[in-house]
Amino acid sequence: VNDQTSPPLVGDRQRETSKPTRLGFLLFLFVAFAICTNPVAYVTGLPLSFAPFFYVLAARRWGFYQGLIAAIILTLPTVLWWDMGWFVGAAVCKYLFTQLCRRRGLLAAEAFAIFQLLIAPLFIVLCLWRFQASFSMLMLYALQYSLGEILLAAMADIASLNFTLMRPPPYISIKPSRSIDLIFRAMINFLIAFVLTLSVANQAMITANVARNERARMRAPVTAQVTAQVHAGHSSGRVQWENAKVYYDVSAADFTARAQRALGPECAWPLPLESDNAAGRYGTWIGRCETSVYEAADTKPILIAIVYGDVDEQHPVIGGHLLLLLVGGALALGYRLSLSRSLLSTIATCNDFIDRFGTLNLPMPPPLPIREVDRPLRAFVERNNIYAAAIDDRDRLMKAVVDLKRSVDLVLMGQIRFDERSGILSFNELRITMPPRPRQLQVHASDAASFLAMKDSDEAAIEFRTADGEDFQSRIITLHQHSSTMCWESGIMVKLSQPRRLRELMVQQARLVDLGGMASAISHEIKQPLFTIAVAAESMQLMLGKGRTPLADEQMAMRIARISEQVDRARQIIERISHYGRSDITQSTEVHVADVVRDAVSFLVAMLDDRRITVSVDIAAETDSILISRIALEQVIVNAIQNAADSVVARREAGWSGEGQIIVEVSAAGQKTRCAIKDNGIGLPPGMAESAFNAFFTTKTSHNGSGLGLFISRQIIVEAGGSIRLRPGKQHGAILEIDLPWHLPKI
Amino acid sequence: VIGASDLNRGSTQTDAYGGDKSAAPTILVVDDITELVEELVEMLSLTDIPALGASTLAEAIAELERAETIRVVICDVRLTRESGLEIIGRVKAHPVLSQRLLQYVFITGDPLQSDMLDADFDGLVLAKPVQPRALIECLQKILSETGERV
Repeated sequence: VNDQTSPPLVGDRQRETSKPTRLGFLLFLFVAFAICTNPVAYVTGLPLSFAPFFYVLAARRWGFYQGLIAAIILTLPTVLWWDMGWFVGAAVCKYLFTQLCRRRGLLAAEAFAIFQLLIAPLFIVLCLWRFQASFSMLMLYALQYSLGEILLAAMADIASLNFTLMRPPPYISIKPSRSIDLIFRAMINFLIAFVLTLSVANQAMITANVARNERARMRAPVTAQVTAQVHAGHSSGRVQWENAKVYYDVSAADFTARAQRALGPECAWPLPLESDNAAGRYGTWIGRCETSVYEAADTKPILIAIVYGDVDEQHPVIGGHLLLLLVGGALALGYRLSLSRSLLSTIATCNDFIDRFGTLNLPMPPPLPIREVDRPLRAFVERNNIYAAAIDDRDRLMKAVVDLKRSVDLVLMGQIRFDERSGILSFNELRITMPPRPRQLQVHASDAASFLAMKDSDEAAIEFRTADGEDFQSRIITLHQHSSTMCWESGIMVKLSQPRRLRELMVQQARLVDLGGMASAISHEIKQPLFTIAVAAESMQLMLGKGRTPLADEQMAMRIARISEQVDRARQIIERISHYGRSDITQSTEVHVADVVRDAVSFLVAMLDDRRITVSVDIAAETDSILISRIALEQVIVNAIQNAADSVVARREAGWSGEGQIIVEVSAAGQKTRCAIKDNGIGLPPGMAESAFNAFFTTKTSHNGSGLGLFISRQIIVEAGGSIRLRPGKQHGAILEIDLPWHLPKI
Repeated sequence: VIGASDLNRGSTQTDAYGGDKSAAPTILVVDDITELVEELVEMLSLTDIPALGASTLAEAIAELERAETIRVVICDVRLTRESGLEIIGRVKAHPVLSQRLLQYVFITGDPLQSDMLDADFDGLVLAKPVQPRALIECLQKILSETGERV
């Protein structure tokens, strides 16, 4: 059975060389948090966090929950910047939405774009509810914020490509150094796009405001030089904002009036504006635009946008240039995204085929997004199919060999040696998947000469039997590569089972042996009618000599009738014998065991009488018919009764003088007919019950039995699907039990 | 079961052939095959040797007790579940019969083992199938010899 397990075709596919660990995640979170405590850039007063980049990355690398934890922790600093906790909630929603979209095959950047499109109106509405602010300015905020987030997500997409590519052989993979290089390039690429996009967005806002002609409306009160006192949380000092222009959504007079009402009559420009934005940051020169909140006493806080004068003047030119750059950047971004999508899809297909390596009849791959990979992948599939077919052939061949081994006990051998003194054939049994096993066979003494005759032959084929004499089986061994006297390097051994025809002949022969054994009883039986006939004939002659009378005629007629009656009797005896000796009735028919038992007993009754043994037949119940050759079953029962009689005689020879008794019982056992032949003979020697069924087994003296009786009986019964066993009787003798399954009509 | 009286009916019928009605039987035929007993009794009657038949040893002893004139016992060696040879022992053991002078003729289908008979056995053993005429001659000889002795 062990020979059937084939060696694994490919290495362990599941082994990962770089496994995401919990410690790795904690380290990642620590570094990411440090980065996220600072805004990546000021977007017209709105500081942007790096958090989306990190939490998308965490989800890709460590999984859903780690991504969620990262989303919450990394967006916490924005609460300090914006004083708005709902940004954390928004980030969690966005994260969940991204994960949902990922299942549908969307990139994080695409998911972010959809989410921002849905959430931006809400953002604007919330701001308008909280502040007095310009609608166009809020639109700009939303736009800037959304673009920034999408860009960060796209960066995470590119970076996470590396996780897809970091797989152990044989999958398509890249080296860690190459992976870092790719991340670096992607970040530079996107930083440029990021800065560019934000600048464009700022410019768009200014342009929008100008277009609304607010500039004209605002110009008069704010063209004065403005000096703002800045008290920022983490930087302090005085910053002179020269030529800055302040835009706000209320009229200057109204604003001043409100400011004076709130701060006192001395309050006038420059206003003490509170700003989170510190000058000198790169956000200041990217945007050239500041945002501040003026807390008025009796009204909502006012959101003020301050735009530097030079930007204001230059905006049409810068806007034109930036627009061109924006188009270029958008194209580059689109190309980059489509490239990563193609790459991912191609790699996934390739890895899928690598996964199915060794599968029989792999289908040809569909055309891949990256066409250059098509040819190598198709070549891979073709070769895989050839290889898998070969492996399949090998497996089938192995199975055939295993089957063959089982049926003819085929043994592939190595290091064969025959020891002429002990008659032991020793060799290593070669097995398909396991190491060779040393084995020994005791060769039958009469066959050892065959080995001796071939002791120096380079190649030899020898038929031999083993000493334990298993029935009629012999073995053929072919020996190759003679190494020294009686030693060969390799060989094959098969067990030869006995051909069916031979078995049939043997069964027939055994019946004839039975007949021979009963010759004396038969001859005695047939002499009786012959003697009666002779006497009757003599009487008739005497009658003829005495002359005819009517009474004499009647007597004559009686004699004639008697002669014919005795001839009939003799004929019956002869028929019974010739029937038993027939060889042509071998096909199975439906028979009732009880009928066969009666026939067998009537066949043997003369012999049994002769030996002064009584036989009784006990048919316990009506049983169904069984499918068997009638003559063969009769042979089994005749043999069983003969053995029983022999056993009784053997007991008598040992000094017993009781009455010999044989009982044949026929009963039903389940859906089987059980026939038990019991005797009160000498019984079974211990341990004989099983060996009695071996060929040439006999307890009798050589002239009295062939030793084939029970062996043949077992063959006949087993072929009919039944079973036969021998066991000791309760007090004396033995019981032979035969079970035969009923022949039930098919429904 | 055919009793001795049934078997011996034949001997009365032999009178039709002119046999001696009052003739006392001198032969006892013992065989388990009743047809054969009938035929033998019939044949012997035809040769003027009045005979009786029995199919078992017990019947044979009963007949011997009844018919005191019997001088020869023809017995099959192989009877149903008993050996014909045992009749010698039974007769010897019998208080009355043991006093009688009886001659035995055994008929057998098997080669007889020498150790099956006592050393002082002086009867005849005939192998089956016995020639009926030879049997008759043999009986006539015995009867005449024993007759002289008697």
